[in-house]
Amino acid sequence: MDKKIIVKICVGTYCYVMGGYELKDLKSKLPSHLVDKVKVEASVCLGCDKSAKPIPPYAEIDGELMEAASIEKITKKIESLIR
Amino acid sequence: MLSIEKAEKMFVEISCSQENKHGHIVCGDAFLSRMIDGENRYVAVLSDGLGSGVKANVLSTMTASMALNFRLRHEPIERTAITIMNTLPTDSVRNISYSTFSIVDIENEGDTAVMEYDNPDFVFIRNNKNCEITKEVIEIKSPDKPKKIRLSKLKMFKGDRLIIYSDGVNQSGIGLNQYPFGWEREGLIEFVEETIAENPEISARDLSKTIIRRAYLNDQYKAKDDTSCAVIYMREPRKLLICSGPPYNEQKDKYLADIVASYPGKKIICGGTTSMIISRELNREISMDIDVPMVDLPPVSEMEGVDLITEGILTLGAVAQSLDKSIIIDNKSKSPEDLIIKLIQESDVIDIMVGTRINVAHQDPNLPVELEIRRNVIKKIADILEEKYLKKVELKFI
Ligand code: FES
Repeated sequence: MDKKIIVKICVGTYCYVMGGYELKDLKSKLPSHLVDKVKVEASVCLGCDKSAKPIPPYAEIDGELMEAASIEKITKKIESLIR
Repeated sequence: MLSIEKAEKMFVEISCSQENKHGHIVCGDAFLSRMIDGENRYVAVLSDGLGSGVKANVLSTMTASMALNFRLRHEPIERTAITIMNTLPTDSVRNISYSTFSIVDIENEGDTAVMEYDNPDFVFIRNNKNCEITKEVIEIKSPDKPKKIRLSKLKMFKGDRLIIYSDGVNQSGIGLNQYPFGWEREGLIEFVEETIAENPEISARDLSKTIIRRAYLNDQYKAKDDTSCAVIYMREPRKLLICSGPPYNEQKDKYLADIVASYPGKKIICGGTTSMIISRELNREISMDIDVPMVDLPPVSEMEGVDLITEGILTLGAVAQSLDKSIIIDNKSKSPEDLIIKLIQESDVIDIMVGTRINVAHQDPNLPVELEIRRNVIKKIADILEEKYLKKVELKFI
């Protein structure tokens, strides 16, 4: 089994109120064929303060920052990574 | 300055527990206490109103608040008592106006005066044992028979406890085989000594609760009278540090982290950015368990040497609300705001470090909710804790 893809979701205040609340369910909403390939972690802030025009909520997939993250977008990204 | 830099003062913990007479929704006993910070003074009053239910509650509440206010103004005890007795409305059936009181007035780190009128004799515990205090009896003229007020003066030291209670406590269990005359003061003293022997540092809050629970049990879970017990405990303060918000000046990050590292007590960090700063400065990792079910607040995280890490402003807002509404929290609750409140309840002195750097992201006009300003939420929490919960709160802006 190859290395798992690490998905960090932000549960910081800003992301949380801007839609991040739903991201916490990511693990249970992933399609079953992806579940074993992903490790979901939480972060208190992924760096929204570094961007001049932040678009929360943020997630980080394999080290790559994603703006305006949603369960759907994250799932797509993971699919593309394992293909 | 933070009190960690000051000589440690003794802390006076005052806590009261009550059980209503079976079948009544209000308690006929009233308890009030006040801390006067500038004067380093504490006044506590317990009053038992004639009868039970709402009428008794009105009598005792009036008595307690009058007594408290007279004491705060340093009125002589005779005048306080006379005024109370003359002001109370007369019971139309029994043609008497009646309520009892016990007043405890503590000044200058332990100089204590106790005034009792028709309440059971207080219990004083030193070195974990009961000590009887000599009392002076003051007679107060009244139209019917003279009223007797018992006055005691003593100096309380660290570790001492003073217990005042309504007669529901010593009379609990009355009539049962085990207690033909009730639990009585002796039974209470024995129980208190045993409880303290098992748990020498038991807080005033827990001791008063334990006593009331026992009295309730004596009455076989149907209190025969309103039952109240207040404990005053002189002790080393239990300290809690709450840090929330990044320092205005980044150069102070290290200073904040050092305070967290060296603080002699429990520690809470409220805020993602704040916890990241402290993690970076102390080189301690933050870990977050995302598998715990999140309710309506972001989850808590962990760091070595810190008792609790939560999200900042939303969680603090929830804490302020619960405290304001005096919501009783479930001890087993794992929700972030309840975990904070639990730590607060278990502390006497609360030092709060408020970072004042503005979080730019929170200025986003698209935010669906208005994020309150940290400073305001924390000030509100501090005010509630001082006024309602008699905590010593020290706020510091950084
Ligand atoms: S709060 Fe989510 S990235 Fe900063």
